[in-house]
Parts: sequence; C-alpha cells; structure tokens
Amino acid sequence: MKKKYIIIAIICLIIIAGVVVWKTQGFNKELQYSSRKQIQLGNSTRVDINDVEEIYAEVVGNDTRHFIQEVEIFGNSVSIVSENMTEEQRDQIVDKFNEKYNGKLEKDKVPVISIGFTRVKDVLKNYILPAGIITIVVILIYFFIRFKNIGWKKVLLKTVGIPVLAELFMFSLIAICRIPFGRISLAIGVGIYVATIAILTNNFENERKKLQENESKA
Amino acid sequence: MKENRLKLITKILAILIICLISFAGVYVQNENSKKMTNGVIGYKLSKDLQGYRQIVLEVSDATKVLDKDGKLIGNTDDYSDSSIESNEYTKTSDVVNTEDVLNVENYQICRDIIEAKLNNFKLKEFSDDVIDNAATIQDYNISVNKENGLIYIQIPETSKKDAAGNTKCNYTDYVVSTLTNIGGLELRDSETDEVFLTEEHVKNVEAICNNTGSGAYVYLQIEFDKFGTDKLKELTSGEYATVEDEKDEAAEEPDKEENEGEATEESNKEEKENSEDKKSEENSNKEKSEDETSEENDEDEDEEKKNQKELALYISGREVITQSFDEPLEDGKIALSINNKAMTDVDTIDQYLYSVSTTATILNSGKMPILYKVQENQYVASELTNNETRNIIIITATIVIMLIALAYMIIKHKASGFLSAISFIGFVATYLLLLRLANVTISLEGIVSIGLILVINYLFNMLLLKNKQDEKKKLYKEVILKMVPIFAISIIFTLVGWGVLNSFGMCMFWGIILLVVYNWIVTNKLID
Repeated sequence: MKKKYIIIAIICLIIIAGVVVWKTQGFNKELQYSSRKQIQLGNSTRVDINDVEEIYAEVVGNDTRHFIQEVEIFGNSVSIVSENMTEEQRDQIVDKFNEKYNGKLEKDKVPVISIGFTRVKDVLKNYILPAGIITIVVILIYFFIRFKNIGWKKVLLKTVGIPVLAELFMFSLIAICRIPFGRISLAIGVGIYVATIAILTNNFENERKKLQENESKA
Repeated sequence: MKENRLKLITKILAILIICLISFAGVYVQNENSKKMTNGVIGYKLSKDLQGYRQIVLEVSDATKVLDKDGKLIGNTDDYSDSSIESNEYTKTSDVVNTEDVLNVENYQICRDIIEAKLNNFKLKEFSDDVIDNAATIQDYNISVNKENGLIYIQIPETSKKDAAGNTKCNYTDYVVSTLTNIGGLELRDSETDEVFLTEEHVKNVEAICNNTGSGAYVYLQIEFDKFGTDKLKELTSGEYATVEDEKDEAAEEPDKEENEGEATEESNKEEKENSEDKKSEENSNKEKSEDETSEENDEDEDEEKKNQKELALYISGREVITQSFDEPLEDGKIALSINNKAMTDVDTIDQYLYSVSTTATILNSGKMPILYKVQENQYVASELTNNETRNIIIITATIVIMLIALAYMIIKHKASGFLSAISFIGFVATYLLLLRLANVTISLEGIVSIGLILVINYLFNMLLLKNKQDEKKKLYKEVILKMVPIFAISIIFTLVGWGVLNSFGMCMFWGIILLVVYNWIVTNKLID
C-alpha cells in the first residue's frame, strides 16, 4: 500500500514538473509543427536526396533540424525544410546544387518561404471530442451497468482519472525530456489511452469476479 | 497418431502459405508489360506515411478590374492582361487588400475560414460511385505565419473512383479550388446596390439534385435564417414582386428568363420544363408577328422595366442572377438552377454537382477578409518514410522484439509453445492481409493500433497455453467480455470522419474480430 502511494506521488510530481516546463518553455514541437523555412530545388534530370542532404550539411550543418522531401513524382525536384535558413545559405545551396547537377537554377527564383507554427490546441482539438469525451461516456455507461457491484464512485473515479493521469504523465515526460511533440507522440498517446482502458477493464473484471466469489461463499 | 500428425502438418503448411502470400505476395505476369507484378493488393497509407498535397497561400497583391461601364468585376488575379485588353476592361491601381485589412487578426480569421472549408468539404454525387479516401480529407495540417499572413496547408492526395477503380476526379483539386475563393453572399437592389441580406443571414447552403422524369436538374439551394426569411418574404412580396404585365410576357417568352440569369425558383422548375417544348414551337410561329409589333412595344417595355425593381444576388463579389419574383419566397430558400436543360448523363450530372458542392462549401464557411493567391500547390512525399535506412532499422527492431517474445513462448511452453508461435506468425500475416483487403488506410495511429492488437494476441495465446482444454471456453468468454470496451472504442473511432482516428478504429476493429475468430479456429486447434 505504501509503495502504491509512493508511485502515485512520483507520478504527480512528474506531472507538476511537466506542466511547469510546458508553461515556461512549451513543447519541443517536431519540425512539421514548428516555424520553419522552406526552399525548393529542381532540375531537368533526377535529383538524389542524399546529394542534397550532403549539400545542406556542408552549408548549414547537421545541427539544425531539417528534412528533405521529394516533390511531385518525377524525381527531379526536392524541398528542403529547415528550422532556420538565411538567404545567404540559400544562395550557397543553390550554387552547390547547380555545380553538382550542372543546373542553371537562379537564386532569385528560389524563394525562402517562412512557414508559421501549428498551435498545440489546433492539433489536440480533433482528439478531444471523439477520443476523450464520446468514448469515455460510452465506456462509463457500460462500466456502470457491468460493474455496479464495485460501486459507481470508484468506477467513475478510476475510468476518468486513470486515462487522464496516464496521458498527463506521458505528455509531461515529453515536455521534460524535450522529446519532439508531434505525430508520433500523438499516435502513441491514443495507444496509451486505449491500453489504459483495456487494463482498467481487466482489473474491474477481476474485482467483480472476486466480489461474486466472496458473495457466493458468504 | 499418423492422421493427427498429417493434420498438424497440413495446418502448418496452410499457415506458411498465408505467410508467403501476405509477406512476399503473389507474382503474376502483366499481360501488357510482360513484367512480374504482385497480385496482392497494396497497403493504403495515410498522408503522413505516403505523401500529401502541400499548398502555400500568400496574401494577394492584386488590383481591382473595372468593366467598360466602370463597374467592379474582379481583380488582376482573375483576369490576365490580355483578357483585360481584349474585353476593354480597366486595370486600376487600387489594391484589393488595403493596408488596414492586413493584420494578425484577419490572418487568423482567414486561417480559421480555410479550416472550416476543409472540415465542411463534401462533394455531393448523383452516381453511387465510391469517393476513395474521402474521410481522410479532414486529415490536414494548417498554420499561419502571423508576420506576413502566409498560410501553409497539408491535405491528403485523394481521388474519386468509380466502381471499376478508375479515377473520376481528383478530390484534392476541388478542395484546393475553394481555398482562395473569398466567399460571401449579398442580396442587393440591382440599381441602387443597397444590401438587404449578407452571408451572415445564411443558415445553410447545399447542392441539390432534382431528378425529374426527363432528367436531372442541379441547384444551389441557399437557406436563410429567421431574419433572412422574413426579409426575403417582405422583399419578394413587396416592391420586388414581378409587375403583372411582365408576368404575362414571361409566359410568352420562356427563353428570356434563361438569358437573364440561368436561374429560377425551384418550385417553378418542373412546370417550366414540361411546357418548354410546346412553348418553343409557339415561339417560332409567333416570331414573325412579334417582329412586326416589337418596335411598337419597345418603348412601353423600357418604361415597364424602369418601374420593375429587381434583386441581384452576388456570390464571392460576382453577380450571379438579377430578377424579380412572380411569387413571394416564404420558406426563406432560394434555389439557383445551374442547368437549363434536363441532364441524363451521370458523369455530367456529377460534374455539375461537384461544382455546386464546392460553391456550397465556400458559402457555408464564411467570408475571408483578405484575398489570397496560391503560391505553391504540389504533391510532396512523406519525410517519415523516405529514409530507407531508418525504415530498415525500425522493421528489423520490430521483428527482433517479436522473435524474442516468441522465443520466450517456446522456452516456456515447449512443443505447444512452438505451435502457438507458428500460429502467432500466421495471425500477423492474416491480419496484414485483412487490412489490405478491407481497404483500411494505415496511419501512424493505425500502426499503434496494430501493435496493440499484436500485444493482446500474444497475451491471449499465453493464456491459452496456460489453460487446460476444458477451461478454454470459459477463457474465451472472459477475454471477449474484457474486449467489449476497446471494441466499442474501435467502432466510435471508425465512425469518426477524421482519417487519423478512423485508421486506428478500423485497424482495431478488424484486429479484434480476427483475434477472436483466428484463435478459435487456428490456435486452439493447433495447440490441441
């Protein structure tokens, strides 16, 4: 019992720390959700992403977060998305690109596009109604009917509290450890939510079974 | 004993064949290219795993364009220099986006309206064709740069396919066509330009297809709110009601109405269609006599027209129709007919419906305070899956983890553990095959869902190995009951229109069904 309280206290502490980090520094959002710069390089021949990666590393360095994507399906155009890129760096990249592919790409025709960040609340809002509210209501109704011998207060508290705590714990860890917040962490978040419900159901079923056995013994 | 062994070998061979089909595929020679191609249907991946349409919208620097009479007809984004010149239009130096509208608040409003367009977007269709991937159009990513108003959008590449699997239209292109359309609706006096109703009074706009015996008509139906309904009734029964003489003329000259604006009230449409043929015959007979009397009547008509007040409907700043009303509009609905003649070709009807659905989406989403133009509109491959080395590492790690778990199963339960491990591999193969056959879109959430199902299946197999044969029925009952809540979650997620959760729900839904059926039919019998 003592062990249980210690674990709960640690989880609560991590959540508080996570909230503090989130309020002061925010999440370390993945590049797709952060402010970023983008340029596009094209050629009449095939462009190898690895070559562009090398050019980028030479000019900007690998320390800056970035990714390179193939544009369209012809394989002759790529897009460089970087956390930061100056116009001078763009010029150098275009020069090296032209050198590599004997291209005639004009620097002025390669604009550095500044893309704004995506707000966390915009990302999360689609999950809240279906994942958070509708499913909890449906599951609560089922739990209230099936586990009425356990007591509705306990069922309500655990069904709402545990998934919320699990999600808060996960996102606190993401905030504290500066793990990129993005598509993968959100997908894992949904997985944790469903796994928590599955574990809760298992525990309630076992508890119900025990109570029924005790009742029959009595 | 021998018979049992033969049965066992047959079962294992069957599992191996399923594994081969699922993991390696079935290669057949293509008749046209003579190349060997995999006959097994491929995975359908979400935008995060496959690629997406990347659209960059920038604040337009367009200036206003006036017609010969000095009336505003659009901007330089709509008309090229050559068309302005050939039509004798005038290009002014007045910019559409004045300094006072270019602020952070309006950038955010535009972003929200574009998001509403993405959420509201639905192509209505006449045919029963499948809109491939339609649910995933809501799987978007949108952001705004508050310094220069630049809006960045990612949407899935989606197309509409017919029953034979041929692409009928690019769904994404229709979505893109709504994004820069400024929207807005106004009902004005055609002469004084006094505005009576705006988009704020619109309750709903939708595309409607009215299928009559002779063919189909497509309408854009605008439904006004309470205030709008009352105002519309007041206007159409008052000074904008058709003057008696004009009503008679309209009956004699059915073509006139069409030329004026391509629109009529929905209730009058069928009547008009039935009488159309008769009237055209009458018209040709009357033509001569009309010519003779026309000169005399011209002056009177001009006088009447001056007295007849008309309402003009503007959509996205363009005049769509100008007319008076024979009968008052009491239900607050205006139905604009798009086609004058009844259509019978399904593809043509669909094309009209797509076009009207697009307009309905624009009008339902609000009016943008700033005019935008498309800077970039292109398909971009996913950055998550374009790194082959990383993909190999992830796949290898997953296989290694699975093999360790199966090794533990074999060590713990010896021969039955080995058979259960084979069954588990068969389950993975069947599951992956089922997801492809069920046309499930795999997203990152879907992958997590697949992972969860595999973990649940592994735990279930361990339980099956622990329990004796006579206890298995009870165990099945217990496990099914324990899976009811997550099965409910999977159904809710499946019904959600949002592709990300839809993928999770679909993967889980098929996974749970397969888990129960497969283990009952295969694992259970194999362990025995």
